[in-house]
Amino acid sequence: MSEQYLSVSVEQVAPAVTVLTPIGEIDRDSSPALAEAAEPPLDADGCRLIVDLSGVTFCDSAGINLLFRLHRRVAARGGAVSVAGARGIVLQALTVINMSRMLSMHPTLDEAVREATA
Amino acid sequence: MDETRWFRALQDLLGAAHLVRPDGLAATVGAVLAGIGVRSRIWLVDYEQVTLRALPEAGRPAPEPLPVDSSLAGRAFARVVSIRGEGDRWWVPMVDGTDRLGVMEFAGEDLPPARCELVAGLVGHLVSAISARGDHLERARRSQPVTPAAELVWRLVPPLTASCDRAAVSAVLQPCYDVGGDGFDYSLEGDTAHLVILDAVGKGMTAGVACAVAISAVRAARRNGADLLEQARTADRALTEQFPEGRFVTAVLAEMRLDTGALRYVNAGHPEPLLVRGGRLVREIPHGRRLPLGLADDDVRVGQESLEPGDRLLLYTDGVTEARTADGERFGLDRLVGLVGRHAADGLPAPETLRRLAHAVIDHQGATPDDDATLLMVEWSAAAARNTLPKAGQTAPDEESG
Repeated sequence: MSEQYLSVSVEQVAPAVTVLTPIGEIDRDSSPALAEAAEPPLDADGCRLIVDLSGVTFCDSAGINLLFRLHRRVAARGGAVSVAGARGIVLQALTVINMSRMLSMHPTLDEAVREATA
Repeated sequence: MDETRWFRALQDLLGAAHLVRPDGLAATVGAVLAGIGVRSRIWLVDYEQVTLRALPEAGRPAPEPLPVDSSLAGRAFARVVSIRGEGDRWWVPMVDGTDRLGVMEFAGEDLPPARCELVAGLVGHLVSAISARGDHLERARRSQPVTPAAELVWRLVPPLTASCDRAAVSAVLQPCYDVGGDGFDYSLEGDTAHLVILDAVGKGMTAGVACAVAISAVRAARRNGADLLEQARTADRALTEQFPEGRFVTAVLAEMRLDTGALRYVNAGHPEPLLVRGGRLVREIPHGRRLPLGLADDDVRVGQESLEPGDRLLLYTDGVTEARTADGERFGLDRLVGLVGRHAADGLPAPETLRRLAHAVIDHQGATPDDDATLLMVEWSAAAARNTLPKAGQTAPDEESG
């Protein structure tokens, strides 16, 4: 992880609703940084974690695996992970893998937040 | 009298096969044939199917490897046809069933090619049967060291090609010496061809182990009589147990009826299978969706499709279509289908089509691939199956259209 090609910010937008915003490329080398940033909110029961992928230009299977893992952990405590704003090859990768059968996917962050806070 | 000599040679080879070590095979075959006045050499194709390599023999200098793409020996291998060479020489394809292992070179006066083909047929079976007794035959096929993950994967997958009277099934797996993650499986049984292609997330040994867990689970379930959905669920459970932290494998599991062309399949987060007819893409087969293996998914509906006689069904991993040039240009679906069409028009046997596709992907990248690339193809016709059989050498080597 010597290169800075992924930055991650975390913001709590409502009680128990957290938005994770990675910017850059998610791959085998950069996904641990994303996993680390996601760690604190996971401890809460019923956590709604939104991963905003609108600033992500590449996501390989390591990134997809991370999303599945996050979801598994959060779902075990009554929460859910959702994905917002995926586009281009990132959206394509999530579509091939049939991601929407596990996580809800939203075109925009606004829609994801609306669903999470509803 | 001539017949008796060849018969005795076959008998001697079979007799010697009980005790022969893999490193003694070349000398044993050589000695038996020398006894009837025939000089011979066994050539094995390397894993990447680029060169034919003489099987090393103690005390006999090894000739340089022969390129498959530009030698008579290579042509005999590629087209599975016996070819007459210079100086009373015959190059005869050596297969086990329809799996191409290499060629045998025969030299002597007035050689009857049909007898040479008989011997090459037996030696093909012997190579396959005795290989597991030692490392020699394995080593002889390698142009480079093999990674531990690749060693695992190659022990896991069935032979690259198998045909029955109604269809030919063939596969390629790259990069040969460094695979880990991709895999395939098939089973021909009664009127059904079972097909599996897999791509485990990640690289190296962990991915290789995930692939091994998934293939083993699918096979065990299938052999226990489970249907497609239950095969996938068995893989889910096995992967979850083995990798509690979560690890998935994308896959297509399919069953194709070889009498009716009816296809049933489940697509676990994998690129859609391709239906190719007359060299053209009919469609990407879109249904049967579920999450990747390793992630439980209820409420999955098995996809269905009807094939027509002569159709080709192509399963692939994304390492094929996502292969990129230095400039970032993808290999892509159009190029893949275009090549399948062109090779079909040339009448190439299924394994040769796939060999060329694999090399086209590597050439496209122009460097060591950064992802595994796997192709598994079924050609649904009796002609396609016949085209994978060794062809006799009495006629001039020409284009067999099957």
